[in-house]
Amino acid sequence: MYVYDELDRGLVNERVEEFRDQVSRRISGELTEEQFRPLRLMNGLYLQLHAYMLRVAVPYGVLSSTQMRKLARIARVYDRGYGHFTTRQNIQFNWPKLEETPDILAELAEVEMHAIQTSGNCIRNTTADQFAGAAADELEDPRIWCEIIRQWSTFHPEFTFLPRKFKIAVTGAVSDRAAIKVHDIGIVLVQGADGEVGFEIWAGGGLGRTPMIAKKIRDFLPAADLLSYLEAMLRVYNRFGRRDNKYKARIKILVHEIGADAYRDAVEAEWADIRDGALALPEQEISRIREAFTPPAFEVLDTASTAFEARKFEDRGFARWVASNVRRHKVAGYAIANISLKPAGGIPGDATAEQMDAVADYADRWSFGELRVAHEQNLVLPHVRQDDLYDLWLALGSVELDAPNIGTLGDIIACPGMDYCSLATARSIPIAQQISERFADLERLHDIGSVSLNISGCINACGHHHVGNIGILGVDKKGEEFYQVTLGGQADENASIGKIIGPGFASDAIVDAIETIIETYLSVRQDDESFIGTLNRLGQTPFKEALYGTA
Amino acid sequence: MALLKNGRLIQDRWTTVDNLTDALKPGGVLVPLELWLAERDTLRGKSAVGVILPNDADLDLLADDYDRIAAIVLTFPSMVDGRAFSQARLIRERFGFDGEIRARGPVIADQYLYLLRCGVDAVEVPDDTNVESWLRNARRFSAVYQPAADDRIPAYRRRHLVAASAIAS
Repeated sequence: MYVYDELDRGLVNERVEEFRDQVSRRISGELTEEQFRPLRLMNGLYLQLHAYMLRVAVPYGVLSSTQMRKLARIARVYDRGYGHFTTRQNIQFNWPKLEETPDILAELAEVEMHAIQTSGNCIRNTTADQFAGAAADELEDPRIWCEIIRQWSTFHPEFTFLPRKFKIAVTGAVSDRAAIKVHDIGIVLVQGADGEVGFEIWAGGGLGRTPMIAKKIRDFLPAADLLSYLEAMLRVYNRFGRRDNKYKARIKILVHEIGADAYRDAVEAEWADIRDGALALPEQEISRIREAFTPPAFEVLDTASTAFEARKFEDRGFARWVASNVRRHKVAGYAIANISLKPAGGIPGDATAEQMDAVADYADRWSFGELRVAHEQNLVLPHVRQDDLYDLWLALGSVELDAPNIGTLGDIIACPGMDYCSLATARSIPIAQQISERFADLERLHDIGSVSLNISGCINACGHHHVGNIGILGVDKKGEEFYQVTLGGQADENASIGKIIGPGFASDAIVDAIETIIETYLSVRQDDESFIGTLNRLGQTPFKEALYGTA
Repeated sequence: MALLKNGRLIQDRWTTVDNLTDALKPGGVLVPLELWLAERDTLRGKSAVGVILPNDADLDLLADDYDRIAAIVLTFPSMVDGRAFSQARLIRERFGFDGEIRARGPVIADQYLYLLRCGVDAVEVPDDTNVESWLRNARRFSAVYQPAADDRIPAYRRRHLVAASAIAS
């Protein structure tokens, strides 16, 4: 993991003091709420429906056990004993007091954490593949480049008052687990003609009111040019992005309105002027950061563990958890263990302080003290010996974190919705809870197999409903919650936006509608075809007929 | 309004005018971009002319003028409209302008560091401004993570300068 040096540490501490000063000037009235608002947002502090909410950055989804214990402490001391992991690898605390937030930030700074730029119209936390450094299909660890971007984007004097928020995602793997094509900028590590690693650059993706898949801006960018190219991309956006309408202010609208070619031309022209300037990273700095992500001291193990195979044979529950929650590791004898924060009937992404502490202990015991947060609102122990998986699974069971449902219908992504959020027009959490309860039967859940279901409580799409295989959007229809269903969304390397299937459903009918869709899939699928495979083969017709009858 | 410049609150000696007659009167004047473009041959004869730029102005329009203009006023319609931050950097770094760049609009002390880093060296502020609050913000951070229009060395170079000098000594 990256460890702060005195410069990093100084900056984060100075930021805490700056915010402490801003809060006191707000309380004294020196700052108006209008002036304070963008400042507090850039420190992760929102004013929600019932209280302030503090969003803490988990840079590119990486946490140490020490940091996780600090989050547990904050949940316990300053909140109501739990935290909520978000769809952008961050964590939110829902009940902090304004005057205590500087103290929370000071505590976070002690463990090299912060809430810098987790909101506001600035460059947000850079997100990454949650399996970075562990995935078998990885070209290079994307965290190296995420940390470089994190530093460059922190307190960037030119890009702190952008037209709108700005999100960058990076993946170094063949399978895109970071949803880079629905980000403002998506970066894919690729190999150049002579074998060196560089970047494929995408821009203009996003969800919200106007969902769009990103356009490819560059096939290959040499690694040393990363920051100058990003600076050119941001500068064109800052100057020419729309500011007349906040719903048209994201870069996707600029790229769409002027066209990807015109955007690319403007960026390349800007870049030509700055690429040989001060932004070229010194090789020593790249090496310094690369060293921070040196793989842990893996043992030399056999690819297959007989003990592990025997446990799977003996214990069906364990075998089921392995089938859904464990992924292949790049090192023989190791595995990636996903911890589902989606128990049937639970709130997606919530974890109690006790669970956070427990998971920190498991990370120390079985995963070199390392943890990850996935954008699907789950946790990951990235480096677990296959031989340790059984003990890990038993331990997870003791704190109710052993739901064997990663990638299944139970693994629902949901925004906080009207239970917390002041923008929401409908509730998301109760719908997620009802659906996961309806499909709680594990035999059935695993028979249905891989399907993503995402729920947003309003058109802003924080629950990523557009890119769920099944998407649910909650809307307000004459004072009543209604739920619109889309089918066919994907957030991976085949990213696509789901299409609306037909009229929406009332809150007491939406769960039945989802069940009808799933039953239809089960009745028409071929062999081990996935939900999205069946949908792509047959189109929406059979689902439409099942939901609304034949016209 | 007063002017915050070089760490002090000073009286603003420049007058904003909107027509040629007033512009040609003695003393420093700040003129709208359109007036400059229309009358630049006449105005070039005057030493103390500054140009007020809208924040969506094409900076190339002044490409031949940057060495003849004494000041440029950048416009902030609100504190969160950050287009002029990019303009400031381009005017300093690309066009090499070394006159006064001032910020006009409801910017606040908490943005002072960003303004300075982008090349703005004067800010129009209310007469009763708490200067200490602005200066505190300008001094607050002991390091920077990126190069800008100022001469601060970004962390990614500073770290290795320190390392190199430590080895040398």
